[in-house]
Amino acid sequence: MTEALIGFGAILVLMLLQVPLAFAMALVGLAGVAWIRNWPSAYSMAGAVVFESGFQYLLSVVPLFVLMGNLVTQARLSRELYAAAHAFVGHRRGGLALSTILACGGFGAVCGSSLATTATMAKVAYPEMRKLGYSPALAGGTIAAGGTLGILIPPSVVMVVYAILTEQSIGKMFAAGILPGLLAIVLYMAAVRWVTWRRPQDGPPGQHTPWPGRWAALRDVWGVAALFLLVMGGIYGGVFTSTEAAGIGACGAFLFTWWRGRLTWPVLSQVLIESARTTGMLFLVLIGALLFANFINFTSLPRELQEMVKHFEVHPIVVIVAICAIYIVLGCLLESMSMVLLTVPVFYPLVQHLGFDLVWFGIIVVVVVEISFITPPVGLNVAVLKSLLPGVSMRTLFAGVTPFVVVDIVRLALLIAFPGIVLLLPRYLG
Amino acid sequence: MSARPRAFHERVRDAAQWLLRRLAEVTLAGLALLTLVDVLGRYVFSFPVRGAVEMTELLMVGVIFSGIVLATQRREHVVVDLLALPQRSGLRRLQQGAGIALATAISGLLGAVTWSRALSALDFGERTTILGVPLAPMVFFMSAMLWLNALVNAAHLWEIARGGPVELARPSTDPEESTP
Repeated sequence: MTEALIGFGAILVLMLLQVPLAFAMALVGLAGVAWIRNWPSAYSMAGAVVFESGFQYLLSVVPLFVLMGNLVTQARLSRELYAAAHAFVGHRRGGLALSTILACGGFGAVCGSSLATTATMAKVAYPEMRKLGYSPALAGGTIAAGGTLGILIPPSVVMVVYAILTEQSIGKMFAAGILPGLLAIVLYMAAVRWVTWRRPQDGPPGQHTPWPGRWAALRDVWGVAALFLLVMGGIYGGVFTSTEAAGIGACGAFLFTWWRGRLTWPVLSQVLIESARTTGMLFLVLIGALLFANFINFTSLPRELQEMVKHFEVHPIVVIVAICAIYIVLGCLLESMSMVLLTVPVFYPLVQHLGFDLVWFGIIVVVVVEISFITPPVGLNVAVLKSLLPGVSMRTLFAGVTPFVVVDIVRLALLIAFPGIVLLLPRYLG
Repeated sequence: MSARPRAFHERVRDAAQWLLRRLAEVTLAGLALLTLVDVLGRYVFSFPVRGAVEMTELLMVGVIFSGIVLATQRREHVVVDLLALPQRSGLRRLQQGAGIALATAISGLLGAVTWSRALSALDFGERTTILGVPLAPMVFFMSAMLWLNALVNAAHLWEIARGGPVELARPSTDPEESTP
């Protein structure tokens, strides 16, 4: 275990020097294996990891879902999604915030990135909420929290990476995210209602839309529904695999964006290059994490963790709660994808040993990652929002997300207490 | 006033950048189209693309490794900013310089280990199973990209050493790029 702890310490030192995390993990992984075994083993192990990361058919879902999300973002669907949600709930107290949550959920159904969901919805929802007199804290907090739905409601890049790391079915992971995603929407809406119940002036009601107007608004978002049904229907209807679904989804998103007149050659070129850059960044982290995971597997840490749990007769649920607590603390310091890649290889053998379902644990990990997106000081969604809304202070934004963090903790507790919420759909789908 | 003629190294840099971009575009678009053609071929014409899985893997190599260099060029790789040092301080410059120097060395090292993997693929004449495409050139490409990545990092280090800006992810100076 000492070697592993020294390894984590070395990564921390390299992080302080601002070495990109991928390189830090790669160096520690390589040096660690050389230390425990020998240099030739470390050398050939590193070559094999780089080689295999490049030639992995399953991993092709990552660039394709990233491409799909970037194309959908270009389609500027957010305004129609927001209008449709507003037509149904906008007249209620806090209605615009409720609309934002619903629209974020809809956008998350075709985009697997929280940051993209936050950035896209901020441009549409924030000015509308402020115009109606919403407080900056509620408006900003709603968008930052709503944005986290992007990674829970399938398709989700984090889920894909988790599924590949733990050798789980991507289809089952996606199915497992649906009910927790709906639960998240309900709880976020409850948080909005609670805030506006305590301070009605923070979220005044908007105009009432009659039913014909509602149906008309709903017709404008057919593209989102069509794309979601194409990808998910294709997977669960047995038409194509999740890997193929990503390619079909990307092509569908291309056609849809082109049909809406948003796709010019320069835009297409930028979307492709941006997606390739994101892919390169994710794969470098993946290569680093795999090298580090190999080192951890050579140490006695995974076995000793299991023995420690056995020796102290710790209840398995206590272990899960402890892991969640570690994630929430780490989430305050680390970027989300890096956190998953760095820690999942350490925790998942223990979780599996304790008899938990790894699909269920994957959703728990995604939920804690969601929390890390909105907790200080790193909270990436809040940072993205701050860059788009320079007039609003970080303090205001973090104050605004607090009620949503509270309901996130409640949701986490519910998912731990009732695993059926996660595991019901994978039983029938995927 | 006429524009300053570009130095040789600037022309090489721009040409390399252009090539990398086209490679990223073609391989990623190819990846999506290949899946579409394969699925349509299988269900509509009962004629799937032969070796589609292998072609996907080969295209992936293009997307990933061109993407790694393009991301480094924009300094987009994940860095955790744990010490809140002032942007303009000498300590910040030192911290950034040390970080990039280490990243350069590690990228070079990864390039070297991949090169030896490529040599072994060449020695054993490794090929893909269905299409029989030789793997060695692809692995040499991976290695070359990791070395190019080290070179891009070294260029960042040179910029910092000459007093250039130290911020992390930053907007590109490339005229081809602007926010869509």
